[in-house]
Amino acid sequence: MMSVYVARFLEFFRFEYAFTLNALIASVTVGALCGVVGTFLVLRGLSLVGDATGHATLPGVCLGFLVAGSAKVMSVLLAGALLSGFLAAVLVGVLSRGPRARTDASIGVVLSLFFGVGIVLLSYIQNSSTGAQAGLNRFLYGNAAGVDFAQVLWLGGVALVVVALIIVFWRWLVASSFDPVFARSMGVPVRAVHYGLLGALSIAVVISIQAVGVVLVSAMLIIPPSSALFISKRVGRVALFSAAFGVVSGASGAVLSYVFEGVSTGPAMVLVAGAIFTVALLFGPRGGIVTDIVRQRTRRHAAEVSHA
Amino acid sequence: MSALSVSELTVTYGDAPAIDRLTFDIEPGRLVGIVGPNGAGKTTMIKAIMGALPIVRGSVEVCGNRGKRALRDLVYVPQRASVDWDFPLTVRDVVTQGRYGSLGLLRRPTAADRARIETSIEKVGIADLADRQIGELSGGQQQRVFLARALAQDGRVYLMDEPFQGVDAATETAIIDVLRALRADGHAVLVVHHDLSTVQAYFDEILLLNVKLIAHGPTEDVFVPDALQRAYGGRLAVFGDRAVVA
Repeated sequence: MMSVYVARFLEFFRFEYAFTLNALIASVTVGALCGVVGTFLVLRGLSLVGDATGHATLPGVCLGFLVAGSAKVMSVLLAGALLSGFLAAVLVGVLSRGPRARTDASIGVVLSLFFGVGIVLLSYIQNSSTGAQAGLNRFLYGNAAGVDFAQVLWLGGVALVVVALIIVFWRWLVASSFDPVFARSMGVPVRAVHYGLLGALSIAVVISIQAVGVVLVSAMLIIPPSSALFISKRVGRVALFSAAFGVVSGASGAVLSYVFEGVSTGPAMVLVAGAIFTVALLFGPRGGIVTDIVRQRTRRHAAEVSHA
Repeated sequence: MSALSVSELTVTYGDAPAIDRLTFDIEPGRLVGIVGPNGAGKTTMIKAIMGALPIVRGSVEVCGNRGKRALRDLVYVPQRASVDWDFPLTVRDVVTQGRYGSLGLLRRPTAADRARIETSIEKVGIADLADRQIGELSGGQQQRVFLARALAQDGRVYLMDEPFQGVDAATETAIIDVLRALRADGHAVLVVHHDLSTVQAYFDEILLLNVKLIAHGPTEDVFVPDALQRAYGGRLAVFGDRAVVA
C-alpha cells in the first residue's frame, strides 16, 4: 500500500509529465509571492482583507468565463478576477471608513456578498449546456496540475515584477506600516502605498487562485507570515522566512495532491503551512511556547545555582 | 524669520471645529509647551501642521517654506501608544527610519548617516538596547526610541505629542535634557504637555489652547490663574501658584 505512494512521489519528481513540473513551479511561485505580500497584510492588521479579496475573485472568474465563452481564454478569467478582487479590497476600506460599519463587519459583508454572487454565477454556468465541462470547480479548491507552461511563465513573470516593486518601495512599505503619521511627515505617500499594497494583494490572489483556489488563498497570505513572526525580530527576515515557508508549503502541497489522488492542491498546501505554523508556535525563537518555558526554566535554574 | 508660522489654521471633525483659526509664530531656539484640556485640539493641531489632516483654512510656514519643502525641516514625534510595538523592528531599525527622508527609497546609508544614527541612539541613553526588538523595551525606553529617531532626522522644528506620558522619572529627565540641547542648537521645540506641575520648569513659552488659541507668550505671562481658568473652565483649581486639573 505504502509503495504506491512512494512510487507516485518518485514519479512526480521524474517530471515525465510536463504538468507535474508546471504544478511545482506554479505552487512555488504562489508560496513565495503570497508569503511576501502577506507579511505586510499581517503587519498592517489587514489579514482578513486578504480573505475577502480571495473570495471576491470568484464572481470575476465566472463573469470572465461568461464573456469569453469558455475557460480556455484564461487571461479573460484572470482579468475578471483581478478586477473583482481589487474592487472588494477597496470597498472594504471605503465601508469601514464610513460612519456605520466597523472593519470586521465590512469585511464580512464584502466577502460573503461577493462570494455569494460568485456561487450563484458558478451554479448558473454549471447548469448551462456549455458550462458542465468548464472545470471552473478547480477555482474553488485549486488544482495546480491544471496550469500549463505558458501560464507558468506568465504567472512567474508577474510575480517577479511584484516582488521587485516591493523591494524598491520597501522603505515606504515598512515606514507606513509601522507608523503612518510619521511616514507621512517624511514625505511618504501613505495613501498611494496603501492602494499599491491592495493592488499587489489582488495580483497575488489572482496568480494563486488556479493552484490554491479562492476559498483558501488567504491561508497562503496569512499563515506563512504568522509563522515567520515567531522566527525573527526584523521585518526583512520575517518576509524572507515567510516566503520560504510559502515555497515549502506550496511545493509540498503540489506533491501531496499528486501522491494522494483526489486531494486538491489548496487544502494540501494549507495543511503543510499549518504544520509549519504549529512548529513555529511551539519552538519559534521569538515567543514560541516551548521556547519560552525552557528559557524561564533555565533562568530560574541559573538563579538557584547562583544562590547556592 | 520665524521657525514656525501658523496662520488662521482651522480643522473640523464633521461640523464642529477641532481647532479654530489658530495664529501664532514660534522663533528658533524656543522650548514651547502646548497646554490645554482634553479635546482642546492639541494633537489635531500638530497633525495639521504636519499635513496629516485636511486643513479647512489657514496656512503653515516652516522656516519660510510651505507644503513639501516645509516637511523637510519638520520633525514629528507621535504619541507612544499610536504604534504597534510588536512590529518586527529593532531599536536601530526604527531610528534608521529617521534618515529615510533624506535617503529616499534606494540610497544606501552613508558613513555619515550611520554615525548620525548611532549618535542619536547614544544621546537618549539606549546604546545598549540598539539590537533589541522594540517590544522588549519599557515604556520609557520606547519613548527614547522615538526621540532618537527624531534626532536622527535632523530637522529644525520639532513637534512632540506627549513625550512625557507614562515614562519613568529617569526618562523624563533624559528627555528634557535632550530637548534643552535642541533648543541650545537653535531649534524650535513644541511639546504637547499634560503635567501642569512641571510647565514652569520646562518651557520658555506656552501655547494655551482650547479649540481656539486662548493665550500665547512667555510662560510667566501665560501660565497664570486667569488664563488657565479660561482654557480649562471650571475643571481647574488654582492653589496659590499651583494649578490642578480636577
